[in-house]
Amino acid sequence: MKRSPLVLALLLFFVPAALIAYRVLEPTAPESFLDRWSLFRIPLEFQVTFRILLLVPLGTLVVSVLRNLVGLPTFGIFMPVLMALAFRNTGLAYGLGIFAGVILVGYSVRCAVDRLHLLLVPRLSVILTVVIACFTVLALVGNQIGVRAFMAVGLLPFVILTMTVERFFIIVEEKGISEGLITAAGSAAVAVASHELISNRLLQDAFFTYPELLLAVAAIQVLLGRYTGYRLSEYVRFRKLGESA
Amino acid sequence: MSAWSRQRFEYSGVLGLNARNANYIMPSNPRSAYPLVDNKVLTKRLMEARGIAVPSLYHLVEYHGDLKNIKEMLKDRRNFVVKPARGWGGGGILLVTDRIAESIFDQNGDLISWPEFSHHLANILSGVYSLSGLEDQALIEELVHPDPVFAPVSYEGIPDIRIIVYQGIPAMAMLRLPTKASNGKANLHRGAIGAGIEIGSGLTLNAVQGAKVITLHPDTGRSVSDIQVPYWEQMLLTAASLSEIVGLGYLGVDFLIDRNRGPLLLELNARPGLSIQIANRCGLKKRLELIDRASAAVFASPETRANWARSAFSC
Repeated sequence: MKRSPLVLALLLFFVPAALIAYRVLEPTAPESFLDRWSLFRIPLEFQVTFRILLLVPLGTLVVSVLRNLVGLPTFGIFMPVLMALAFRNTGLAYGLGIFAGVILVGYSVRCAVDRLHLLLVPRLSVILTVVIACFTVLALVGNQIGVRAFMAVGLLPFVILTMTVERFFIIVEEKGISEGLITAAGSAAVAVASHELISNRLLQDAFFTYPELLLAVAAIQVLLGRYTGYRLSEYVRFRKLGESA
Repeated sequence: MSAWSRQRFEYSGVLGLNARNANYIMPSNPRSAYPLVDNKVLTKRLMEARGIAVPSLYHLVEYHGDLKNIKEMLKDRRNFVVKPARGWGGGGILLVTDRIAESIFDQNGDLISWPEFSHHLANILSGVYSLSGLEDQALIEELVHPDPVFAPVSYEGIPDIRIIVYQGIPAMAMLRLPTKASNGKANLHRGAIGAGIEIGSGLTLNAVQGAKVITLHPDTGRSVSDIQVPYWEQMLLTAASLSEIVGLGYLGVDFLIDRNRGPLLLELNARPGLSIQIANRCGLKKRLELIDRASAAVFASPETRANWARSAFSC
């Protein structure tokens, strides 16, 4: 028997209840200015993007808070946010697994090619190539055993993760493995926190309906930029000084 | 964290990273002055022009093509140091301490093959150790022979002296001593010892290695306290004159002391680290605020600034 070529696609989208009620009750009323300029009026496939995009500044706010108030070390400044975005495709558990996998595979490759004395750009390219090869194999395995998340790595920022591998290697070489792992854990923690915020339905609805909330986010970021108090981690770092006072 | 311990921190005058960046580095250090201190070649040329002693530059390697003749260029040098022009945190620095015929050896006495040596230089040129990750240059310069006064408290490598200068006034200083754990390097985050120096006398105070307070050098077993740093007045005076020369209000100045040439300015840092406070068991913020309140007469000349610091800062 031949398989049917019929494919069904579903897209979930949101319409404010007030808008529907208004349309039903006043079908002939002219649209208000804000209705015409609402994000709800852009084509559906782009709405999906904007629901996420509007929350990315919140993700960067998390990075600012965890770095400047808590003092968590991370690889780069916005790498955790990119990871958080990638987690949307893979889910949290697999996403973290993949992050650990890239670091592990990338680090092994980095150690292996260290003996070849390659120059910087070709070396990063080799790491990137091997990492992508590994994930292609993983996707094939995932297809065989039916784990979709193994295949959903498409949007993972591999290039940035490869730079992360190089930074991880340098931190391990210069400051030791524990410092490297702490930084990796810090990055993962920040990525998870950002992901939780970005995935929050309530926040998505709020920011999509009222994009002007971004101004409030910017205001908090400015406030944070003028915070000159101690980071939590500094109470540990300078504890000897606190004792002597 | 409880308000109680926050108050204790405030009281002890600890300077945190956020406050350092927002209250001291950003207002005092114009962006335009950074390239000068971030690039060791530029720093070295400016210092030489102003008559401040620095380790002599033997060769500047700018292009990968220069590496073909590297062995020929260095054939008359028995020892030298290789470092990236725009490196950070001591990365990429290689000490070649000895040479027997064609073979060169690093500070651990390990043989370095010429292909390995070239590769290291190539890495520097490709920007592996550079602050920005962009292409870089490699300096091949004079190896400093440390003053014997520090020999009992150093493990291989070369100790250096860091002075934090704010508005031209030396605010805090420490001696950094290489250890076995730091692999002969004088960088605190690699496990070197940091010993606070009393600004007034130039005597070392207590010391830290990592987070541990120590009194004896872990490898040599000798006391690291109460060592008189030689040429102390001269270094304070040089440090006090640098803010005007490089245009940075908040500055870290690193010196080495050569057994024959005396103090040599090694490098400048526009974002000096905060561990110096642990080495001194003393908060930096207190001192910076004292400097902000000093009378205008104090700032008249490098001499008045250095003298004021010597009388004001005894911990």
